Amino acid sequence: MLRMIGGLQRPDSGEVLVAGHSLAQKTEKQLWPIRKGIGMLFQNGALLDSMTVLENVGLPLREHTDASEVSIRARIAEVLAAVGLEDVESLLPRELSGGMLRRVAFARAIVREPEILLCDEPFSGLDPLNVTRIEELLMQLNRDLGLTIVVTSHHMASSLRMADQMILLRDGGCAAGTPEEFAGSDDSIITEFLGEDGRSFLARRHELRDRNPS
Amino acid sequence: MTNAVAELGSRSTSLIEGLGRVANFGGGLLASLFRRPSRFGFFLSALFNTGVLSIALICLSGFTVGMVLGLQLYTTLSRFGAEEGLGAVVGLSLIRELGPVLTGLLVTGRAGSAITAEIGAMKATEQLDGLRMMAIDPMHFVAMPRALALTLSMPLLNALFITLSFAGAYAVGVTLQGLDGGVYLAGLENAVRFGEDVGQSLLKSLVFGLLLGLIATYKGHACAPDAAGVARATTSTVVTASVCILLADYVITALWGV
Repeated sequence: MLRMIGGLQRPDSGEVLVAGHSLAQKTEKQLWPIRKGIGMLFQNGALLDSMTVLENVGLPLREHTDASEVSIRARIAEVLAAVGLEDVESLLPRELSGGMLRRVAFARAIVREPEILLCDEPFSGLDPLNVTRIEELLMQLNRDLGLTIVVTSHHMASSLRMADQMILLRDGGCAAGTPEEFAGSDDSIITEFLGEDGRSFLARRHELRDRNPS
Repeated sequence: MTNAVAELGSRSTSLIEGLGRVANFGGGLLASLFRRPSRFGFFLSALFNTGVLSIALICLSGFTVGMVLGLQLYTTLSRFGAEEGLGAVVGLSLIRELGPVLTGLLVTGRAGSAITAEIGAMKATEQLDGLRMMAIDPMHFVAMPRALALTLSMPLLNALFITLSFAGAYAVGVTLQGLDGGVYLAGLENAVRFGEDVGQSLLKSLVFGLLLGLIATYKGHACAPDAAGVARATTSTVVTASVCILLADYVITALWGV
């Protein structure tokens, strides 16, 4: 689904609308201006493995802006600090751990301040500390910059905490709703999918409501 | 019977489709050659990988091929008392045919396969899609500098190969077998016409380089995005490029006139 929003794959049928543009009929070149407003976080980072962290994160700036070297450096340092990394600029992607790699990829996705951020399984294979860190980062970007963020995830607890809208895809069909609607749903497929995470989310909501009756 | 006809038909259409895709890819490569920014840095590093790192292999192979030619030809020629013809035979066979073809095949194995594998691995790990999502054309960023490096390094490596094989033949024919050095070099000099023979040699290796650059980058871009796909694409580059080089060699020789 994220690959279709990014225009990397074309739908068999139907239409994909991104910020008012229909992607289905566009050529690769016509997609570029739209993609410049989109940041994408790939599951395995998709960093260029022949380039250092500094070159990887700075790549979108060097390619698409006339910014000076000094301001590019400053911006790179800023986004790397935002994802909680320092002293990694001269390392190659293969020298990073999984969590660090994901965060560098994250820094690259947000370095040009896109309007839309697509995240493919940002939590898979991460330890709980890194999950929380990435989750907070996403929430913060959404709050501070008003970024539209689309996340695909099997990590239900994070999804319920973060999302405004959720879509559950299964066997070619889908269900959409808010986290509250999902957690309170009677549908056996949805409750089965959310499992314990859904129940604890609901319990926590009730607890909060009881504490602040307004 | 009907099955065989259907099979033949579908094979033929897929072959023509494939050729169309390669032509399309080649056109894209050509167009991206003139696009800004020039990617000169990437070109230089690709030139280093394909050219400079192949030098040892080319020198060693060239010298050995020259030694073998020197030994074989000297023995055969001396049977007819014609050993002073060594320089001429070695010069013409190496410059016209052996140099460009053997260099083409060696560079295919050494550098062409590596480029397919690299681009294929980049595709398998979504690096090419990552570039596309950053609105960077992988054709311009990855394929073009490498294809250009292969094209330009081929004639240079060819010249190196031929020079070293002259030395190899000299080492065996003159130093070991006792032919007069002046006779060897004079035979070489008299037989080889610069415009005709050296020109043909350089043209051949330029065309081989172009073919290899196109095939190696295309196979990388078109490969299935997994380990088995990269392996298949790499093998396919070596096979396809080798066959194309041998066919192109015949075509150029026939058109140029012997």
